Amino acid sequence: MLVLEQVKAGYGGRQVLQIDELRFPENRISILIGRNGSGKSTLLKAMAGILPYKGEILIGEENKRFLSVSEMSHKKRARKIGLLPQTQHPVDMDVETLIMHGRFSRLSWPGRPGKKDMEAVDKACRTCGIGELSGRIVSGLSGGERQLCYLAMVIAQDPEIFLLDEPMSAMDIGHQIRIMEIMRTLKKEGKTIILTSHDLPQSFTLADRIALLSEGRLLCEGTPEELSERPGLVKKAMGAAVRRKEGEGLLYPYVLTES
Amino acid sequence: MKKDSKKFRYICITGILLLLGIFFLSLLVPNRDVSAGNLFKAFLSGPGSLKKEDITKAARLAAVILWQVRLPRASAAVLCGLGLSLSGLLLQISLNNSLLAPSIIGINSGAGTCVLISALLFPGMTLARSVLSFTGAFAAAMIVCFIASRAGISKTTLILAGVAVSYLFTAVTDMIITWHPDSVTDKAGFSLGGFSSLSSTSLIFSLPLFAAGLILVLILGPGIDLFLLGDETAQGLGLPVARWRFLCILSAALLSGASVSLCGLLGFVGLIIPNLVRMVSGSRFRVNAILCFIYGPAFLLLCDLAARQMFYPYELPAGLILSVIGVPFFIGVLLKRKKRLAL
Repeated sequence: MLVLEQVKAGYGGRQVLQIDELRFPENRISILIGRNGSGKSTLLKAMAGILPYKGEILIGEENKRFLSVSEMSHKKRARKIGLLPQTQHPVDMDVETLIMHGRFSRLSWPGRPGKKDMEAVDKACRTCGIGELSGRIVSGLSGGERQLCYLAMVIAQDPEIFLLDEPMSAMDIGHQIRIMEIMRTLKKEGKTIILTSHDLPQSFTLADRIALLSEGRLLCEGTPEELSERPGLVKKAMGAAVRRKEGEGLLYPYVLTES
Repeated sequence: MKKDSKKFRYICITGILLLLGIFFLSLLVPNRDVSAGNLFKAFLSGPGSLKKEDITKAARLAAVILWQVRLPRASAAVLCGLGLSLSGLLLQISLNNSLLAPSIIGINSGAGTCVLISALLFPGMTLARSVLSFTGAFAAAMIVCFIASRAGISKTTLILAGVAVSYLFTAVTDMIITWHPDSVTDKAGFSLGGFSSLSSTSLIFSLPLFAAGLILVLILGPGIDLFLLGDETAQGLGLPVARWRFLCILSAALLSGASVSLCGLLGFVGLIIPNLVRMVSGSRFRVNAILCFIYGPAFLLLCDLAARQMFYPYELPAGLILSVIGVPFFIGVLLKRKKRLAL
């Protein structure tokens, strides 16, 4: 579980985010949705501990001690939280080397991977279905393939909580479906997934819980069913509402509506 | 991956053989004052041949040249080759900019200015020379990073800041040389870089700086590759980016400072060798560091050998030979790479 209390964050002295209270339940897929500039990425970076913030961001389980994200060492935090930023660099290294970097927080000096690390990399490749990319150089891959490789790197990191910043933006529908399946697999393995998106039908389909952000503040949060019954609020935040559509074989059972 | 390991082993073995070959050639190459035979006998006799009473004048001269001139010089070339190329590699990866080098970012110039200041303030004190050389290198690096942090850490800003700081320190160096010509025994040699005025004491006093720089590289090594993934990704993986980057720059300053105290303002090595090894072997730091360890010294040794032998008894600064050989070679590699990418 990830708990936020009185969290404020910003850039260059300008505050862009203020969250009074927000809880992300464990073993669920939670999605932050909001327009561009609503504070989704800022919130994600604060939760990952890579952006300074005021307030408390705590990781823990019910009836157990909670740990503050900002007070953890870098490696301990990386073992708890895995971050996939919005931008991935097209690096000149092979896919296996990239994915092995996900094990950095679990390696002691001099950083030589052991059998356990190799197994983690293999498992990450299988989960993401990128076996055919073995030996390829990351900079030579398509955007979708590169995204899958970076996601595999974060999976190899084996954190409890995944923070994914718009993991499906700029990807074709095939890769989007694959990533959604990966997230459902991770959830079955007991992981907590928190991602950002501004695709309403996709988010409402995938999420167990949705948090709606607007101008750096939490507008509301709840299940997709609860939020689809509050179209006014969703429209205020996103410019359109959603409603559930009944039918066979629908990829996204939620559709956009004007009201 | 197996193919890459085989290629890497082949490149390493070739480089080691090349390095050893050039090293021994630099010790044993004859000239009109000393024959190959006498040099070889002095080599086999060891440093003890300097103290032998019952040897000819030619044999004693060979022993002195081998053990008191050529060996320190070759050792300094090895240390400076690996120091400057590793320094360049550290800067290029930690600041994510393949155009950076200790000579471009002002590190070498800062070290050079402080070497002259030490010659003025602490003449003959070799320890002061090494310490001040590192201080100048580190100060220049910190000034560049400070400017870049205020003006924006883009590739262009870093290079512009480095060029500006480099020019500033070069101007101060030229002022010192103009007002105090005695501060440097060989102006051209110092400005272009070379080993003609090397002393054994300065070599010994530079060793702690080289050792400290190399130990830091060993400690930082496992995390350095993460810089290639971008700061946010690297932090997410558990790398304390700001601290690691600072330590990489510190290590680069230690290695460059130590090198400048021995060979003057030798540029080019720190830019070209890291770029060449990365073209051949990709971007993994461990692999590239090992190749810099081998090919940086080999290249600098070759240039120094050519500098002192080509027009014997006249000696050119090694930095001049480095530019004359290195620039066309590098342009050739760039053109070959462009052609291969276009295909």
